[in-house]
Amino acid sequence: MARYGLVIDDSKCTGCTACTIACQLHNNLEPEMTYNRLEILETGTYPNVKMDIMPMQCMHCDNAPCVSVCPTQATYKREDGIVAIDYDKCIGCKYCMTACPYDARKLNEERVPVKCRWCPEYLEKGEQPPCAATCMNDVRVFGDLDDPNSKINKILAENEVVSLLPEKGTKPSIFYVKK
Amino acid sequence: MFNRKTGLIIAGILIVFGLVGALNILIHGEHAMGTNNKVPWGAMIAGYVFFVGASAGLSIVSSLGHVFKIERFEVIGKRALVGGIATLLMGFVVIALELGKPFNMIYILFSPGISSAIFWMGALYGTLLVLLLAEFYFVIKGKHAIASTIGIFVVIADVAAHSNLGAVFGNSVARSFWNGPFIPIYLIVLAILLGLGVLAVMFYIIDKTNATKDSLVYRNEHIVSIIGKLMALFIVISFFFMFWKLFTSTYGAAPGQYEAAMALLAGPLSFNFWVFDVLLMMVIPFILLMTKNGFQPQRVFLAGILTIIGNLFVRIDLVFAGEIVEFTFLPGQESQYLHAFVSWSEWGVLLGAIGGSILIYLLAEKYFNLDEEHEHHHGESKANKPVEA
Ligand code: SF4
Ligand code: SF4
Repeated sequence: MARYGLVIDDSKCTGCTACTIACQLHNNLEPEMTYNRLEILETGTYPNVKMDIMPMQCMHCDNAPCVSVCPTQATYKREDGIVAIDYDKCIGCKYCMTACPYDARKLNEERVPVKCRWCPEYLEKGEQPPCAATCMNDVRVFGDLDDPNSKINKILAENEVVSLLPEKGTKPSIFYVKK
Repeated sequence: MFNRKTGLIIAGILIVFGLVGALNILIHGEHAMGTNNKVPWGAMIAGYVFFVGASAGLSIVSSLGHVFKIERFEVIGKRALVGGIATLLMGFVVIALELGKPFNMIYILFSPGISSAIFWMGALYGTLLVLLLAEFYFVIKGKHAIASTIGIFVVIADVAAHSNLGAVFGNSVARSFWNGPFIPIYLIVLAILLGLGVLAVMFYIIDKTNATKDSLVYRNEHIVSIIGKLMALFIVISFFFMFWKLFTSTYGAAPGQYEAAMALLAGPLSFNFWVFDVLLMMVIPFILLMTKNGFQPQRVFLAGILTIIGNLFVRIDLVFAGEIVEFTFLPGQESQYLHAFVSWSEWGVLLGAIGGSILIYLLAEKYFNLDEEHEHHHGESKANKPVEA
């Protein structure tokens, strides 16, 4: 069984939001719904300005608070590491939304807090999901962390990586290449 | 001024507000609420905590009489029990409207998430309702021995359920202001204060309307005055809790907690905080109670009403304060206060639930004998025979 991970090199991100749109199209999302987003911070004053961009989405935490707080196991951790939601079991309590430290969840019109799925239909075939495939700069690389020859493991070996908010103890499965 | 008819009219009006609000929420879902993706919990959650808190408070205070056998509190027993059932049921109505898909609650039985405080909330409150109804059944049947045994379990279940409800917030690693043991403990204190407020109002009106044959005076002291004294004590305890929570959160700018505490003290929640949480729940009732003749029933009644209103706002503010500080992820990003409010539909539901509680109480008063006196002392059954539930 694979164990999926994602490495993000945000220094390569241009802020074009193609990933957000590709995801919306593939997942048939309502117009105001997004599963991934860009956190943007502009600093400095003209002409010395800088823009930091960080792509964000569900971290598919290994110790996911949204999984532990879900009263009906509607949110659950699959063996391959993906944190999935069974819509038919969700009571719409929004506990997962308050429990997630990454603001990864959004409520859909059926009042279920949804989030990035890591599109297993692509990962299981060894392909990159639309958000990664559409990217001009390979900002995202998905892969099997248990496969020593996977591209993701090469990137992890060659670069120093950090995870977001390690102090929350969530053990994210997304790694950011340290700038 | 007070009689059953006024009570029914007030309840009816409030219930109409409630139905309109509930309908709007059922039709428009989350759009009818003041919450959003970044502030997912709001007034409905706070309202639920308020109603089940009233229930817990009524049970805890009335246990002084029927569990701990302090004679002067025995007179409140049955009516507090009815109040406890009514407010608990209304709490369930509010949470059912808050939940996006309440019918999926059935999966709490089929695939229980036992690490979830909301799973335990369902389990404990479900148990509590059964226990409360059983206690009421035996009380009405005049089987006092078994009723008081169940009463012990009611208090235990109530404290467990209500402090676990605090843990729903306290467990949240993501929300620093909630995280920790404070809210589970504070909710119990708030619940007792709220229960005392409700009892003060109830028994003042019961006295004014001669709704009971029981003597409300024990050793020259009116039950409402005794409740007033406890109320003053619990105002002080609540103040103590609130003070130290805010002090420790602001001292040294504790990360994540500082901004939330400042939202209350000087930010977007400050009007609510100072006017309702501080003045209405604590300062004014305390002054009313502690100045000359303060424990006169009329004063306690007024203090009770104010502390009940303040108690609702404290919960709304506690819920919002935990979520109102926007998360930041990039170094150097400054966090902002998010916007959330209580929508008219949510107010409608909360008012409706108050009306529903009053209605259930008045119906119980009509169909059951809620007096203690003649059963204890004469053991005869009343003309107005109890109707079985
Ligand atoms: S990022 Fe949030 S939604 Fe995703 S697994 Fe972690 S806690 Fe759950
Ligand atoms: S909203 Fe649904 S998925 Fe989220 S914790 Fe509640 S039941 Fe689970």
